[in-house]
Amino acid sequence: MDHSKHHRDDGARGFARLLRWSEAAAYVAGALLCSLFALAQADSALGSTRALEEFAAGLAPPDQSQWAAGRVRDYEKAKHAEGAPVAVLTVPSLKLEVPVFEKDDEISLNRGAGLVAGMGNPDQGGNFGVAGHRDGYFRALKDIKVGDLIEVRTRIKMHRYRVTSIDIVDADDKRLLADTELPTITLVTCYPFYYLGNAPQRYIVAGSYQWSSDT
Amino acid sequence: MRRSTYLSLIGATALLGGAAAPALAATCSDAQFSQAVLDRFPNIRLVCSEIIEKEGQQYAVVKGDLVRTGNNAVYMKFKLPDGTKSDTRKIETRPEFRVKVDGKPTSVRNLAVGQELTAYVKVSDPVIALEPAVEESLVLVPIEPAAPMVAENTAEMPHTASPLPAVAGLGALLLAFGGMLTFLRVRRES
Repeated sequence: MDHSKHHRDDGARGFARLLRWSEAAAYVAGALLCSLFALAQADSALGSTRALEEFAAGLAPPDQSQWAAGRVRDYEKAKHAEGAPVAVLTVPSLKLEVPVFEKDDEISLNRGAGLVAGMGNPDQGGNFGVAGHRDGYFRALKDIKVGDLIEVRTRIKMHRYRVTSIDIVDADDKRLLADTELPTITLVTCYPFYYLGNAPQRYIVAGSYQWSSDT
Repeated sequence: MRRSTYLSLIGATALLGGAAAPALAATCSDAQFSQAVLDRFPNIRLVCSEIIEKEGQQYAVVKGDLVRTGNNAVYMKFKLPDGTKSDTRKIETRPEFRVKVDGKPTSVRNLAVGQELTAYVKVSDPVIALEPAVEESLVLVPIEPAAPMVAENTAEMPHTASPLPAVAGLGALLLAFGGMLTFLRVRRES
């Protein structure tokens, strides 16, 4: 009799211990994941602001007349360092301003937008693609309209594009990423904008180049 | 007699004046483009803005917008009188060659689409050269047939779904689960 009670007590104590461990593990893992999210959000906000400031500073270089040659070289190197934005994309109608990085990896897309690998770049012409997260900067694209202006400021020139089409395609449909003879812009984000998990489609905004002689 | 003298004087003056006046400079419409130039660049008269002389040769000045750069070449569309643009023309060059952009010397590697460039087409031969930033010999290359430059599509659809919302959701679920376990434990212990 005492023996079975002893067993029951042991079982209850084991269960209580398991409960306590599970409880602690859930708190620790939950706190870690929430901290990771908070850190990523902070990195997104701070990284984007810093990238925009760096880019603006690079456009108006400081007076280097008193600088040593090595310092000027380092400055130029830092301007083109990995992680530095290559352009700033603005959509005035959406009040969207986002740094564009050379790669479309997770860190770049968390801080802004990224050039789509295998497509052109704004200064060299062709079809130049920019990717962004649908739950980040590019969520604003849900309100973009045909005819809206898209501006891309590179270190060389301000390029202007006019939105010509908005399409929703399957995630593996690459036709709209094909090269073009004239300079064009293609903005890519996931669709639907509000969706849990990997969205099955892509939201594609295409724009044609506005020549300085265009009105 | 007197009338014939006047007429002779007028005739002589006209002849002397004609001989002494400088030859009129050629214009885009009357320049003697060779057949080879016209074959390679049929609308040269339309895109030509003036004829200049350089190193004893006549050149048609053509202005256009840069539509693409790369592979030691620039691709330009020239301006037609009605405001439209010509076919795309490829001009071979070197990345370090300097041209004038908005009056400033700029190397070809630092050009950007949308910039206006000037080129010279030799009137007598089917060759073309970008206008150099400084006074130097022209780098003439054969005029290539109009050809749009389109690269093969190697792009992959980017992954634009961020895992962060899922991370935040899972974290919140785990915290809620922990809270539920705490509630169960406290109730059990009391």
